[in-house]
Amino acid sequence: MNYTFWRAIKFAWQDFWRNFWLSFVTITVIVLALLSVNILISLNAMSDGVVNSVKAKVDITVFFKENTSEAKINNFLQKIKAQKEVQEVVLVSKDEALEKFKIDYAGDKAIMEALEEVSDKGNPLLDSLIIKAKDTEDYQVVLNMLSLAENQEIIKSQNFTDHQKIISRVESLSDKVEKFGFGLTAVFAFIAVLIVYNAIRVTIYTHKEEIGVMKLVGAGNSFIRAPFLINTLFYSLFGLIFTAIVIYLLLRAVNPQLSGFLGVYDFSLLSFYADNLLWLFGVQFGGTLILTALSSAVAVGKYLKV
Amino acid sequence: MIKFQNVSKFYAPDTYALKDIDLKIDPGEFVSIIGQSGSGKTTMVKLLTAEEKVSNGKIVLGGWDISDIRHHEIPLLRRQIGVIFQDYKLLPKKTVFENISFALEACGLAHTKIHQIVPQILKVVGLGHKTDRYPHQLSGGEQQRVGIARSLIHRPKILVADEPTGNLDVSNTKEIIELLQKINELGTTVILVTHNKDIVNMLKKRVIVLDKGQMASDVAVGRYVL
Repeated sequence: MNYTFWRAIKFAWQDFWRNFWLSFVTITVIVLALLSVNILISLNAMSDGVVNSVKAKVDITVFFKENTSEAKINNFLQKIKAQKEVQEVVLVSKDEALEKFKIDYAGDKAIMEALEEVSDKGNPLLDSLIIKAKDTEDYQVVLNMLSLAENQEIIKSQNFTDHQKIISRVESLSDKVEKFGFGLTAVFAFIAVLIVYNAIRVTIYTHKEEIGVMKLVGAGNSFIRAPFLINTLFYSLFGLIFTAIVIYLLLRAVNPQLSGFLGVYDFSLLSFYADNLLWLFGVQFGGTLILTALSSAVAVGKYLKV
Repeated sequence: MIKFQNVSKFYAPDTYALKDIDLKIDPGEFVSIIGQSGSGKTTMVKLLTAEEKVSNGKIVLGGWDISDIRHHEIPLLRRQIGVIFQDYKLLPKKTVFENISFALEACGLAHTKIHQIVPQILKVVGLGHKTDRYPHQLSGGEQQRVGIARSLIHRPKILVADEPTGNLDVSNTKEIIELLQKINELGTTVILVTHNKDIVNMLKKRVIVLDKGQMASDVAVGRYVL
């Protein structure tokens, strides 16, 4: 049984090289299909990265009235924290706010002079609370709570940094690109399936003498079929390897430009691929293998009469 | 023992390639099957090797009814029957050694065993000194001997020769027939399908005559009569 297994692989390997140009064309089409899949994955990952990054910047800042007691602020803080929609609450005292302001605008002479003037009468900044919700939809609940009369007693003002428009635009664009990408991938996948089917058919034809001899001397049916099915393993494996090489080269080439664009949103496509390499390519290999093996099995069933 | 019991082979819409064939071939016999073109000789060979299925009747090979043989059993049957053809069916890009070893590899034999068996078989057919030649470097008779060697790899009990000398000259024909006789003397049942009158008359063995798919005669020591 071992000999049969290794011999089937040997015969498949011989077929693969003997029909070099056919194998080359087949692998090229598989690479194109996988590239379109990876472009789709990359676009998806980038839009998710941008959206998540933008979502992370959404928050509500509440400024308390001057001379609001610490006890009232703490009480308010506990009430907000207890809300299930709230993910995080950060209290920034006016002193901390002043220190941060000085650091942020240290290089701006005009602002620093203005601050010095105003600081003579005391810290002009207010105690504040930065509230982050678990999801962008939850902010409305928080805003409703803030607008309650009991809370408005201690709230001087609130600032809701709403990036919802940007988020919606990005998601809408991403949706359109995804649909187009799926269509393109489906077309390439279909072509790849047809190419593999034809490659196996041609290989069967070019080996009809050997197949005839194998049948004549009583070779097992599975041994006769196996090399054609094993060929799909080679097509899938080489297809994936060449795809990985092309993607790596492309990413290296465009990463500087992409970093400039996506760096603002804390997203790196190269890091995304590095972090998810195994499962990304594992799934693609599995999917390619299944499709090509099915195509091959149909061709073998139809044209290899054993 | 090979038994054909009321065997018929029908091709739609209205062609009987074989009709009501009843015959028995004992182990170790040498039988010539003769007949004009279209008489059913090759169909008989195809039925024996399960390349075709009988439309009616039974074929029994050593107690095994192969009339309704299952798909996965066909390779097992073919290992028990050696077949040689008029066109040799050798692989042109493989040497003599490789043509035989390929057949053994296809049947799952170990590498070391293959290297033991192939030289022995080639010696039997007188080609031990030409193992690295390619088919195009051999005469017709030598190519047919390679075909015979390949048919013997499983030490089959039955050897079917379908017009083995059709493409050969007189002297090569004689060599091949002598080889078949030698194989028969070693105990293998030989079924020779032929058009060649001289061979049949020279052999003085059992002769079965087919005519339009039916048995015209079956003579223990026959002559070519058509």
